[in-house]
Amino acid sequence: MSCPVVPPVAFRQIWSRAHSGVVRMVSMLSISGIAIGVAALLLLDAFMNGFQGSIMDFLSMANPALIVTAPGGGCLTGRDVDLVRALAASTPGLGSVSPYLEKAAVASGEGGSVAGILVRAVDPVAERGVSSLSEGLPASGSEAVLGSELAARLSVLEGDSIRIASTETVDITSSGHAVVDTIVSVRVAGVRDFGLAEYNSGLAVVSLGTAGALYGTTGRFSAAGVSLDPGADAVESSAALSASLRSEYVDSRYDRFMEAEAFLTRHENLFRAFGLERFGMTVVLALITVVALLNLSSALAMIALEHRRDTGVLRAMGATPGHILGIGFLQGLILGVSGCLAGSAFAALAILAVNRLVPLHLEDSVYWVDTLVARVDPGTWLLTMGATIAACLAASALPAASALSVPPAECVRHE
Amino acid sequence: MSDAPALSCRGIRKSYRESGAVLEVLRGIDFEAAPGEIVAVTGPSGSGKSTLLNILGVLEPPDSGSVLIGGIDAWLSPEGGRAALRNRRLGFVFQFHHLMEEFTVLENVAIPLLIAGRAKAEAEEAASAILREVGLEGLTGRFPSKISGGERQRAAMARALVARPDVVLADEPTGNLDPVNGERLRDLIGQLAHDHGQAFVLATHSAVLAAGSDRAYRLASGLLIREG
Ligand SMILES: Nc1ncnc2c1ncn2[C@@H]1O[C@H](COP(=O)(O)OP(=O)(O)O)[C@@H](O)[C@H]1O
Ligand SMILES: [Mg+2]
Repeated sequence: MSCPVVPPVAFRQIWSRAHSGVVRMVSMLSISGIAIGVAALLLLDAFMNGFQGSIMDFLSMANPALIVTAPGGGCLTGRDVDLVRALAASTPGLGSVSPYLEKAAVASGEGGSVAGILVRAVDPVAERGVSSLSEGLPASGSEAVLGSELAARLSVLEGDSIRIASTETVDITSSGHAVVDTIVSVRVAGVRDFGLAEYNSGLAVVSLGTAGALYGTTGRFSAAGVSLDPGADAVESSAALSASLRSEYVDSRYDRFMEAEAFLTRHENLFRAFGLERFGMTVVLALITVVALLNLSSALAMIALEHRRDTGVLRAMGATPGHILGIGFLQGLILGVSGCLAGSAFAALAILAVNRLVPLHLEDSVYWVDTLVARVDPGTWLLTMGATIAACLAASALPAASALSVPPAECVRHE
Repeated sequence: MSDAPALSCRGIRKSYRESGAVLEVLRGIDFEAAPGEIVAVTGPSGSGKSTLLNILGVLEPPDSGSVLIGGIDAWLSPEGGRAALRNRRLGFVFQFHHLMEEFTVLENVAIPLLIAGRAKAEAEEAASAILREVGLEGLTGRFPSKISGGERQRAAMARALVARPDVVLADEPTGNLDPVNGERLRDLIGQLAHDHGQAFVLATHSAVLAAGSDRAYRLASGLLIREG
């Protein structure tokens, strides 16, 4: 098969100007088909990666990788947090620990507009080790960082102040008025885009001191966030930490049962839905490639038919069946590789265009993330190309065999 | 020149079955050609000349009988062996030039050597030498569609000769040529047979071409009849 006659014959037959250029056109069409199929799969993969990745990034940027809670036991105490710190230090893959308190509240701006908010109270310094939430929040003082939409709803800007009322201790008087006993006034230290629409529309990040004043909860926390070392697996590390916490409790070294959970597993259903959607779309788009392969097969059969006489002549000159098959397979390979390269080039340009020149905006109330970016996974990219080329070779088998099936004497008899 | 035949066949029979009826085309052909000898086979259209040449050229199997090329029984050889015989021992000239349209004259002529596995440069060097011999040195870079009928047939002859085969089988090589070009091709064949000691088997209904042969047969009713 590797004979000096095979490549030139394969190439020239594909690009033949003879037969009124029909062969060349058919070759171009089948390359385009493969290119479209490959581009569709590559673009789907890149945009699904990008979409899923952005959501995952935003989720994990604004949240610690692991969250330790006390199931059924309410708040964590400072002692609990100290234990978590000690265990995290001795568990490989785990980083620093930062406790937080999360509670609902009502906020009002200077003009009187009111909004229900979620208060997240953190230690501004410790929180920097586990998430980006406390960015812009001074280490001390009665200040808050607000989500951008929330700030707009309250009509406040950085430097303005808002009033936050605890909803924990609301009494309804006999005349039906709500009496709120704790109200604190905080300065808006920053207005942030947290990346997630949910957070932008209702989150206020404050210091633990502010929360203490608001709720009277000094020394009590909803949970403790734990950061991960780069490269560590969230699920494995949370299992390891949970196991340590459990044995502390079961072996009676500690009197409280706590559990660690990877933050992203809270969104397991979301990622499972992504996976399912991606699988379905891949199957549908792979059908384009299947059609392109059928088209390739018929193009190759047509090229073989147009060159039936040449095949007979080649065999009369001593070409073996291996040479003839080699020509057929090489033609499939040439068209397949050209299609893959064209499809890749198109996909790469489209990705560059979307990522750099014309960003695609999404409705962020629907999708959480507001721009669609594409992320290329080189492994999947190569796999898509490799699988397509292999499929092209498989699609060449039948036409190659058909070229061989005509007896050479038949081919050379007629003009 | 040795007396061992370059090509011989014994008891070749061939019939075609077409819509129930059996057409006996060849009914026992014995024949041989010595090196340097020009043998002509004449006969009207449909008498079986092409069939005989295809069988001798190892392109089509006979129903019975044997074809010996350089002492090797071609139809007992495996597929690879038959391909090698076609490539090294035989040269074929078809009634229609059958040059490949996508290749230049030079490239067409070099193809048998490429099939033999020779490098491109070497093959094209040998091809231009043989093209000089058939008088086409000025047309090597042209495509077959850009040269005349006579030139095409000479290019086809060059292609059949380039691997220096022992036997050249030519099926009506002058069939589509005008008398002047026909005579030129006949002279060329005579000269080549003389220069290289190659055996030529010509199927033809041209009296001119048959007249230039060392031995002539007429194919009639599936049998060969010696004529001169
Ligand atoms: N593949 C075939 N099937 C059926 N009949 C054939 C086939 N090939 C040739 N023939 C018949 O065999 C006869 C001899 O044909 P051919 O050898 O081409 O004659 P010639 O070359 O002398 O004109 C013709 O009648 C032709 O129709
Ligand atoms: Mg004929």
